[in-house]
Amino acid sequence: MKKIENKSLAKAILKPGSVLVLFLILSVVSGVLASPHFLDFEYILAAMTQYIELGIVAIAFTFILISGEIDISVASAMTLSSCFAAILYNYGLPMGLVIAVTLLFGILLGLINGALTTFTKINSLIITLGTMSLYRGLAQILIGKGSVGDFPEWFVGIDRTKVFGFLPLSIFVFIVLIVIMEVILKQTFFGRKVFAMGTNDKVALYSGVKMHKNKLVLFGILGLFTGIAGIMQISRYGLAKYSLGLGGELDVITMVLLGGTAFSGGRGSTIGTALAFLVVVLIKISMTLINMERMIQLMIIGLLLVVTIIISDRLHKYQDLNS
Amino acid sequence: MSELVKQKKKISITSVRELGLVAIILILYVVVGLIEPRFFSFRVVMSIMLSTPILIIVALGEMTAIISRNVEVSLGSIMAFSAIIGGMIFKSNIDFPIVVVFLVATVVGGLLGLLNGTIVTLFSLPSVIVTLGTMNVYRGLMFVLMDAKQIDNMYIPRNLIKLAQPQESIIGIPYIIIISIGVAVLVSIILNQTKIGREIYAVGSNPDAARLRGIGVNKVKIIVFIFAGACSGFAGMIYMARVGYVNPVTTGVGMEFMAVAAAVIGGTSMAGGSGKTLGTVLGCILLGLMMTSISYLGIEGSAQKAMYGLIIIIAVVLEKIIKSKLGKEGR
Amino acid sequence: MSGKSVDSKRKQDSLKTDSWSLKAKGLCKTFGKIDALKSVDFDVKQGEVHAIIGENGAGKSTLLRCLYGDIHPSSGKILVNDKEIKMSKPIEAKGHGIAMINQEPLVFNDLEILENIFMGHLKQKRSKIVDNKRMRDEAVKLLNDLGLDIELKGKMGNLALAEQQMIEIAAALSSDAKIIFMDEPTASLTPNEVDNLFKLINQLKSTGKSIVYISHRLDEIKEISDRVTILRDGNLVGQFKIADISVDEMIAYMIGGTMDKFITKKKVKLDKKPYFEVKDLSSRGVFSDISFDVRKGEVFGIAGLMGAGRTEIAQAIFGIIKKSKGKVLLNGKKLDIKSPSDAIKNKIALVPEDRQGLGVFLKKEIAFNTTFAAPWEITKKLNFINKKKERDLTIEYTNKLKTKLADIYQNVNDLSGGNQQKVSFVKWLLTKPEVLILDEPTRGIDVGAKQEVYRIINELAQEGKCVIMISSELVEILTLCDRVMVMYEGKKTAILEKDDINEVNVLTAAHGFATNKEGA
Repeated sequence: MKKIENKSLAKAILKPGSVLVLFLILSVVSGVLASPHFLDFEYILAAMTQYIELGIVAIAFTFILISGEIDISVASAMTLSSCFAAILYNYGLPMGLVIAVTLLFGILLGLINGALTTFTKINSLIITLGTMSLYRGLAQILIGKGSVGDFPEWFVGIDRTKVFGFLPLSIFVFIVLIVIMEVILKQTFFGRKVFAMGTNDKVALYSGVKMHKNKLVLFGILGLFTGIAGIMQISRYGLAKYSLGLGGELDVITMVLLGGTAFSGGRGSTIGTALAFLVVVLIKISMTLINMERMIQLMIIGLLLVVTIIISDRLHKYQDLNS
Repeated sequence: MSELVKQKKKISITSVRELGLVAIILILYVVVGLIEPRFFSFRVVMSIMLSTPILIIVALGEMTAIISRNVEVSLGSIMAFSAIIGGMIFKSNIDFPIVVVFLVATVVGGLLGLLNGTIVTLFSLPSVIVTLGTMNVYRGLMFVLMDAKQIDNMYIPRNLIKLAQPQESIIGIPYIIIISIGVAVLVSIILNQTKIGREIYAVGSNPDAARLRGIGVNKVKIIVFIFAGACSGFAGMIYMARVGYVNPVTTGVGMEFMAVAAAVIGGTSMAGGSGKTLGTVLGCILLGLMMTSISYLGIEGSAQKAMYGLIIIIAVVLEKIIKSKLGKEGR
Repeated sequence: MSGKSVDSKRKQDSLKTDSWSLKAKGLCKTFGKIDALKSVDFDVKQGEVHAIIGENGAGKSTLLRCLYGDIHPSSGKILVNDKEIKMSKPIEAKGHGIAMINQEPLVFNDLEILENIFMGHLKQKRSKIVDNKRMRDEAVKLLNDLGLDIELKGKMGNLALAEQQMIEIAAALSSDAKIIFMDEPTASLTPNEVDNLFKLINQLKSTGKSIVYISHRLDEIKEISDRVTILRDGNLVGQFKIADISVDEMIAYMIGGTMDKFITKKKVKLDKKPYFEVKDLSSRGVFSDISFDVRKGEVFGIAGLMGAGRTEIAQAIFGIIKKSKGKVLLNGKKLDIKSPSDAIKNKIALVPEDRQGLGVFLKKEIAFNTTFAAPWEITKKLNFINKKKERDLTIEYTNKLKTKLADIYQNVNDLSGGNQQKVSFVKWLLTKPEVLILDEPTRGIDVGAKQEVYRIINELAQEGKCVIMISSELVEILTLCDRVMVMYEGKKTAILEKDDINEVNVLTAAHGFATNKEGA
């Protein structure tokens, strides 16, 4: 009897979710050790707003990864959208219109990735390796070396506007999006199709899933989210620079993988991504509080990614063997 | 489908490709020169040639990785790491024998590559994600381990810098160019004429078949990673010779994308199993030409990133189109 | 040339002095809950062709993989030359002189043909440089000895499948293989190519090599083997000299009974008018000018050799591959099908051959799989899923098909092959199709499950559905079908009905000879 009990206990513990919980605890502990300021709720919220755009992108990235595709151009697309918005506004378009057009632009960027992937049948990793560079470069061409800003007052400071008295608007948007996307993922048939595509794309095809259409939709959604993130980015900074969010794809991938989404697709959740976002933010806060050098901070996140992917891969394999 | 025999008329697309690249290079050079006559000078040609050796050596390492069905995006960080170590040796003693420092840098690069390869094979993980992580780890490691700071020009031995000067060699060709050609020849020999080289192609072409044939697939992969890392380490020293300083934050950033672009232009298939040294070298030259053209034509350097991205996409899409057209001919 | 003759003389001598044997005793293998092999004994003598036959799922491939070092047996011994060996990787099998040719040749398409022969044991000069000249010379000699006429220059990807297979055999021999396993080697070959292969096998026999041959084609087994081992449900049920057993007896051993008890056809009264029609269907380079029709309640069989294009016809009808010409009509109305989604809307279903790769999501739950092709049955407003409806429907259909499972929320992976196939079926039944295309519906499932599938097919026919059954099992074609279309290399060679459906006619047409029964 004992052996069987141990096995089910092991099965219950060794889920990808548990790694997340473990990291969550670790990050809180390390934060507390780092500084007394750490447990200041308002401080944490304020710090979260600095990374919230990446968090938003990570939500849609989760969908893409579950469906068996990948898009490493997300951070570049986000910044390109923000630069695009800045240029539009400086040409005289009213900000409201700028926002709308930028969102469409974001969708376009996503659709380009989607179209290239589906119609040339080239691996999305390679395509987005290219667009990652392309979009960043285009942002550079648009904005040049400096920054473009001077946005209307009502637009700037999305992180300072508070909802319910204490919650920064950007975080509110994040939470709303998480809830919506998680519901879509787990409770609708569309969500099932996403899982199906990532589990076995051939079976999905044979079962009547319109692969091209659905992939394009997913990339489009991802593009929309990068557009949203881009707008939030310039609202927070008050200006647009081509170098904003540089290296952001590393953070996004780390968040999504840490959140329990399998790299190979077919598994994942946006809530997991959200919690992983929290973990990454807490770790970054801790590192800032102890004045860790930027390069070393990058290294820690890189290390986190490697460790995450090793552990999550093992756990997924274990789960497969013991369903 | 046995009777519907695949009688693909395969005009060896590979030799066509190399000729095509040479043609494109020459045409581009002429076109740019017509727009900007300053381009037609020995100085410019030398400048282009001098900007390629670093890329060539890194790209050859990247190409080898791609042939084996792996992608390495940490080569830039490895290059910087090795260069910093080399620089710090010179900083403490500027008369340290250059050859030894070259060796040290190469070995360091190889060790970092070994680490990459071990993680990828031990846990069967996708190389692109692992190296995306280690890219940052190695960069940060420089600060953790060595409190790295910029290695200024004054610490770099004159003899090393001489390697990159046109005046300082016999036929007027700087040593680093000769060295990079030498490395290319060596790589070509290894990949085409040795057992391990052929096994690298086999592993990239069909890893399952390779395994069943008894090839140690993991062993081959680790060797590939070590090799790519060693190339980058070596390239780090060339970088020091050519650029004249090393900065731990900026050196090598983005190198891997140029390397991938060069390899892909040169005909290396991302699916693994094929790739030629000559093609990759030509790809590097083409990229070097484009980079130089951009500054001579007065276009902002900011266009570079966009360019690399566009190149990768176009090259990959074209390859697909060409392959499917050739395939269709047989049916 | 003196080196050449010394080599061949040495070879002749070694043949006479070495005797070589491979034996397996009490081999067992369990995968999770499934016992794939139950205490099987097996042996191969030098210079013999020993065939292994059995129904799908009987354990043939498992046995081979154990002997090849690809998997570990759970218990039992393997002996080479009466010495026990343990293999943990295929390379060790190579060291013992064991080589395997797969159904789909495992080749390096990007590499040269010469390299494909020697990859894994490349010859080097003293300087570690690859010795192309030595390998080329050896390869030329090898190919000559084997009577093969294949150019060594050029990439492997350019060769036809049959030639790739020959090269794989050459590769095995170049690494000094003493025994070659062949898993369904003739599956994709033309009759000419099969002849060449058999000539090669006989040639190998005469030089003292042994062949272990797995195949479904009992007539071929009769022709080429010396002994035959019969497996059923993981057990060894018989081993005979080929001369001592007839094809009928082999079948009887394979299925554990006689044919008429095994499979029956329920008579259905059929309309005169066709309900589903295919006219001049063509797909460039794959098949051409296929026309046939199916009536309600009819079981229409499509027979032919592998590679004849049958699966592709199904794929074209279903919208997986493009058709270059032709029409598909349902009840007189032309259908415009560009994707499986269109096909489903038009009440057509396809149960694919490769159940695990194309039919079901192994890692997903039974309920998920069952309802996946018919989302309209379980979705509410805004695309939300009605979990209760999903549960009810899954249970209802699971009971209808008598699928054995513990919990509708367990993974399909946990089920046996036969039950997995039932889930694959159920998924399509939920779409309430009028036309069902079944591609090798009993592939890889045990005898008991097969009978269940035949029952289902009979029921579908009785319910008035059009059932199109693609099958390579002659028994199924002969017993279950009202009419049979036979294909050969992308063309229709015959449509047979009533008494014309017999072994001779089907096999003749399958090998390309149009009969006077509505042939091409």
